[in-house]
Amino acid sequence: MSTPSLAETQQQWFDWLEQDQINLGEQLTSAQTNQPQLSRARLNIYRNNRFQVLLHTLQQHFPKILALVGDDYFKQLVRLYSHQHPPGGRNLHSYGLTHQQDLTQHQGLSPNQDLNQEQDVRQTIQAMSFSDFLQANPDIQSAGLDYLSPLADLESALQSAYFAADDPAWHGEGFAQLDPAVQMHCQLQLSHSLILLGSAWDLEAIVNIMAQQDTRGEDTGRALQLNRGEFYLAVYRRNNKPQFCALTGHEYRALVHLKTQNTELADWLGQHSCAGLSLAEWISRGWISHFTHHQQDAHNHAG
Amino acid sequence: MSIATGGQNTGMSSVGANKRSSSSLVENSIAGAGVGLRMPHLGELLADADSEQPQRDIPWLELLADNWLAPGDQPLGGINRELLEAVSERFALTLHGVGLSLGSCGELDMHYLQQIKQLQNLTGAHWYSEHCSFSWENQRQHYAPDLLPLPYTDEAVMLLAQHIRQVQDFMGEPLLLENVSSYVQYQHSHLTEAEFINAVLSEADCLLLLDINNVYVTSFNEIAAQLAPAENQSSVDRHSQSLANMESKKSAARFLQQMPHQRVQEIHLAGHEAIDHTGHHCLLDTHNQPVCSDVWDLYQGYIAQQGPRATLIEWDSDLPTLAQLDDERRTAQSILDNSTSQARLASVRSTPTCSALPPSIQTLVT
Repeated sequence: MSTPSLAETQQQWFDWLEQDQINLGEQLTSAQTNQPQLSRARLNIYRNNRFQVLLHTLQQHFPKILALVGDDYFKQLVRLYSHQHPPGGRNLHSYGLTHQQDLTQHQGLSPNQDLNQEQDVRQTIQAMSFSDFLQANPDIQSAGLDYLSPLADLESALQSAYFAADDPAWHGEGFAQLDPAVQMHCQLQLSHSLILLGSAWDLEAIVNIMAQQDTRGEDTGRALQLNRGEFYLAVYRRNNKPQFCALTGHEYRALVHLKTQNTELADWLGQHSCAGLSLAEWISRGWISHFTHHQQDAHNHAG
Repeated sequence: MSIATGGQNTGMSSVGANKRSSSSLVENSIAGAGVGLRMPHLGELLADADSEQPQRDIPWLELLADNWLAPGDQPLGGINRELLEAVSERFALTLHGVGLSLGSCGELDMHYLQQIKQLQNLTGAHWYSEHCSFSWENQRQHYAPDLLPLPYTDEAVMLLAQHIRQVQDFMGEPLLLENVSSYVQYQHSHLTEAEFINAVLSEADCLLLLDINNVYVTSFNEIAAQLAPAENQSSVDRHSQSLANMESKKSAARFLQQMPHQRVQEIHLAGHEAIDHTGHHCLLDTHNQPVCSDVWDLYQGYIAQQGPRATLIEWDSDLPTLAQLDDERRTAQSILDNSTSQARLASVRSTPTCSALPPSIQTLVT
């Protein structure tokens, strides 16, 4: 056998790690012995290391899914997921998570062009989130566990909110000092950590039930059969802790509007008149991080 | 947890003053025995540093850089940033990475390196170290969260050296390269590991982070493979096992002798775990136990011969209490302290006025 190049060697490693090509691994390396059993055992240390790290990562990211399905089944899911969708990036903080933009798109909003382009880029990095994997898993769907996927979205959002960049401090005095006409031309910007979720499942109720009783997926599913409908959540970080709360459909749509479109306050309030009542509370929760306005326009209006 | 500024500053100096670009060690830098910072210990470490009478005198901490990088392009935020700022204000730090994949074919991930540089700027870390391994496949589409071994070939030497030079140019300071533990050998390696590391360090003009536990684990695994029972034999006999222990210590000591000591900036110590695969004995580099006695012996011997080096206790899983971890660290510190005092005595002994010393000192130095 000719000596493999370094590039060939490295490609063979990954073929072996991810595609179960055991013989290929044995051709590649030797544990200074002619004993195939020993070689296999030694090589499997690397495969096991890889799996354990990915398992631990997903256990950290999806503790509620883990609690619902149990250790053994979760391990089976991760084995399949990590085999079909190996990490495409070295930062495992994002392994398996649903991207923030996708969380909004899951709610049936029509994505704009920028979001589509961004998704194309992401797809080259990681093919499928753990939530989408659960959604596509026939065993999970046939077992009536179809709430696991949206619950994984909620856990993704909590993880993303935890790692979100810091926001500038809300400059309330500056806003209050503006002429009311100028205020109406401002654009409100949402916090980096605020993630908006919609679901056919009452995720808040699922989490509450899980907190109240030691229950498995089947029981939780039965308990929630009557609670299907349209449910909306805001996931955000406050005092350094990720948390969530329920939104009305009106609040959800008003916040999605702010998040996805650069709209002046007047136009936004025109389309979401009820949102004005919630604005002070949103600011106090840190959901509105800052405002922008064009100084020249402001002066024109003030004059 | 309060993260108010102020409190004990353990002497973090200006990083810029410590930079160099040749093969000499980083001077006026951190010294003594430190520990790898792990989240469960962080609160206690900060509280102790801020107390009126700190119980710990840990001179420096190593940050696992990858744990402190935010996903995507966003800057680090939230509690992680606050904690990082708090720990940077109180402790001298170094950065240790696992994600750069210096040994992968193809281009280095400069975005990742940029994040590392930002982290170093934020923390004032004294140096950055990475591993002599690979984690990416060639197209950089797939990543293995592990330190995969490289074949010891000229091609790998040249690739590693090229990547290390690129890192050093970008960071503006020398990189510390760490030897990794290994469970397999390549059939086509034509250099020994010691020859390989010497060649890379020389070609790249970088420094060495010498992991003595990794040296021991790799030595043991090589020897245990040679002594493995035939496939039809049920288990390794006790004689072979103790022989493996003895020979691996000798082999590790020979490896340490072959290292370029002038480039050894830092030493890692850690615990490992023994497993038995159907009679095949093997050591796993698990970092979940105290440092074993053989590794302590090797460390003590190395320090006695080569002089003190900044030393780190790594403990990553099955974490002990901070007090237990500090006990391990103090063992390393006492070896460093003894080495320093012996060196002083040796220096005194070598002076022509030795006979004029007080009798108590003469007893010590003879």
